[in-house]
Amino acid sequence: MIPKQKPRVGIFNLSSCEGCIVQILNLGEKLLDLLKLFNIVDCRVLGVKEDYNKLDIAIIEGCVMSFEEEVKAREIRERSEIVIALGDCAVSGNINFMKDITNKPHKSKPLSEVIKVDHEIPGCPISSEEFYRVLIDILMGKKITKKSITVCSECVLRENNCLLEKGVPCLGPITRGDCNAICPSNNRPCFGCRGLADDANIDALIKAFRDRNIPISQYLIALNQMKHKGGEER
Amino acid sequence: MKNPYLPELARIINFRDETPDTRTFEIEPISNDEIRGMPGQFVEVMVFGYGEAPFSISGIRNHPIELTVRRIGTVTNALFKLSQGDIVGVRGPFGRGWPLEKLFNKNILIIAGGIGLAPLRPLIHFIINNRYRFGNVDLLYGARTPELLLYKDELERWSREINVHLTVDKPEPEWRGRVGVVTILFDEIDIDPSSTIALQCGPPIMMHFVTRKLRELGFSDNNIYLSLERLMKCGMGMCGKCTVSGTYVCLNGPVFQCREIRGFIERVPEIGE
Amino acid sequence: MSISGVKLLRSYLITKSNLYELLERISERNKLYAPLRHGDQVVLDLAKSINDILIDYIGHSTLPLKKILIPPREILYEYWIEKKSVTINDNLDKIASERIVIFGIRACDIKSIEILDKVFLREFHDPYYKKRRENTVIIGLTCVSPDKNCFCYFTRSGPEITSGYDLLLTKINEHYLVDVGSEKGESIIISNKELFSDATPESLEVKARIVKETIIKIKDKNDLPFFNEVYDQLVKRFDSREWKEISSLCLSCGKCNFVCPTCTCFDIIDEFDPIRNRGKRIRVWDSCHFLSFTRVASGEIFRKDRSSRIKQRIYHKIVYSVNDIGTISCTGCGRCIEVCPVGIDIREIVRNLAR
Repeated sequence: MIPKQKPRVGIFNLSSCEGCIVQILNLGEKLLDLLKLFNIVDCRVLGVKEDYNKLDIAIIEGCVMSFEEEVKAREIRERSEIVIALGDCAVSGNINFMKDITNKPHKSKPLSEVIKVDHEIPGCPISSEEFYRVLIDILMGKKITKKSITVCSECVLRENNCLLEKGVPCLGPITRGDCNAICPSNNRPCFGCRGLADDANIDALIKAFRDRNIPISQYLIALNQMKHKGGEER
Repeated sequence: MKNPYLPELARIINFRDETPDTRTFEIEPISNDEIRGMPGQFVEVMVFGYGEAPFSISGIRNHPIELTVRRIGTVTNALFKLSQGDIVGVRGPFGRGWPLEKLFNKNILIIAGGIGLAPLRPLIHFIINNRYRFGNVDLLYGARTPELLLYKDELERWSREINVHLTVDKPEPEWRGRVGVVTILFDEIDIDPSSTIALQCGPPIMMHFVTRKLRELGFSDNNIYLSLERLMKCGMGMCGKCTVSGTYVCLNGPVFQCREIRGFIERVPEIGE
Repeated sequence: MSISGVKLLRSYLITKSNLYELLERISERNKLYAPLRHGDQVVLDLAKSINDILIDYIGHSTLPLKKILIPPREILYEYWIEKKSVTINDNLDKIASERIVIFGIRACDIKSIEILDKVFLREFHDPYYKKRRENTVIIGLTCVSPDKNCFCYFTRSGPEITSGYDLLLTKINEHYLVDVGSEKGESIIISNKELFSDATPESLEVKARIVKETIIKIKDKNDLPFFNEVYDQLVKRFDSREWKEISSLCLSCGKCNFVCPTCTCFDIIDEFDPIRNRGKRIRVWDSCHFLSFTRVASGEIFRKDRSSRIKQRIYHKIVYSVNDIGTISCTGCGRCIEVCPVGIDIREIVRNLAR
């Protein structure tokens, strides 16, 4: 069921806060399980740096903000079988992109703009559970799929008070869930860190905001423009 | 009563490769109970560790049932990694198969595309074993390439009992047969729509054009049957994923009479509308 | 299962303090689910203290009764693999001994049980649902305070209800009138006799008056056709242009499905621990508004258009259900209206299409 040789794993970071790597450490006992199944040969945060040429799995946190980082990303890609973009910075540019939104051209690049990415683990920060699941699924040769559930529907499953109804700009209705609606459950609006849900209807959310006199952020407008242009969904 | 969500443990008795990505498995419950499937029905196979997926029964002649599986996702990939003697779980059989009782003394036209031949194979076996009870029998079968035709050795044998017409989309150098979509084979057959029952299974787009063609030829919706592919998760008319116009494909199908489908409120692409 | 529809005609009265005493006694031996306050929401949840139970609340709980009978996430079975064999542990055994009492639900939710039964207990019986259902006692409450989105009168599921409960309470001045709906209900009365007195003829009259008043409250807020009488019009309007407009509004967020007392669609997912070789098969609620809902192995998606997915929900409630189980499956609770961020309103849709 699982390969005899432990896959060699490297964990790297580009422009990021390393919060996603902290989430990996937060796995607790499950991290020990992962260490039984994987051989981590390179990880600054864990203080591991072994000699190696090839990697089976490279996990890259953070977005690309400089030429140096672009080179680093390409280098990792070349020596790795599978590349995982870890966290929203790597997946979409996240906060760096939000700050960057009015600059043209954008300085921040998600990893997939620079190198081929095999799997994405979204979130700011990532969910430890999902990280564990994706690694196990890769190990077992399962297809990695993202769940379709939206943050909004997960929020109603927890029977929370709706922030949108209170006039708070919550992106829950258009955001892919599987985070157990952690932000709205703690009275924080969803800011879309897990990316757009399938067939997300941003126009409708903008209308819902307007109806409630909620200001429309530049981020939401840019997101909508990109969606309508197609392709580049960040 | 037995919990219908729990699979019965079964063993892979044997398997053989049909094409580079398709394999036929022979599966038998370890309890030695027989899985009494009818042609056109399906079972849910659980690959422990990976999950469950529905497969139509492709052979019921012997004690073990046969399932022809294309390697396409997590469960099928895992299934392909198993070997003889390995354990899987089986639930079913489920659903309503081909209308055998309506086929006797009729001419039969079977149209299949790609892996769509799998659920029709037990029907073809049944027809050949009771050959005298049927009139003319034609099989029109298309695949993308000659290599992807299923049951190649059997097609040869079947052709002694029924008329087998083959076509491929992309020929290979040694291919001597027809080239094109399955509907081009209609020019090879001479049929009387009023005494013929058409049965088909294939990709939605194929069934769409075949159903159109059949109606052009004068087939009534009563004499056209199709097997629909939908997401049959529970197989028991509960999870709701396979419904078409509120009808459970897992309970009332997967085989439907075209007329039933035409009565649906929700559009079904397979019937040529 | 005692859903035979046998209606026992006896009625009783209970005082408010005795009602609390009854609930106290019930909670000692059962899992007592009741309406509780959670922020601004009313939720149906395990009552830790009898004093937390809301009796006179407006509207309904955020999630309906189905969350108890078919939990949002439920392990069906666990298994482990050892060498060449597999051992399966049915989780049904764990729920076999649960005794559940659900207190304080109203006609819209009581009616939903009838619909859930028709889905989960037909050709195949869902054993998990069946076991919980058998282990559950329903103590309903006649609704006197419909909120702005309530329209059960027009789905013919309320506010009066005559079956589907074991006991039904109706507030009559300082007392509660108790209607017995089943043998289970009767046995609660018998074993707590001292808490009840016989119903008076006046109390029955008061109940009839209260129901009438509630109907008027609902009618005042709604000008609607009866939902079981719009089948033909809806069938004719399947391709109506209005669906395009509605789908341009819809967020596909799936909330309406989760809060609906009769949306029962689910997915079954797998979890596996490759170190201990143990796995679980888990049922989770699913939504027909999600794009992946109809995706088959080959990648084909049968309801790609947002409008086809919205229609799936509305037609399921009013048309498909009639074909499938012989009744509409909207109980008029109004939850989907309440939670929809863009204000899609099934009443408006039906009113417009039935015109």
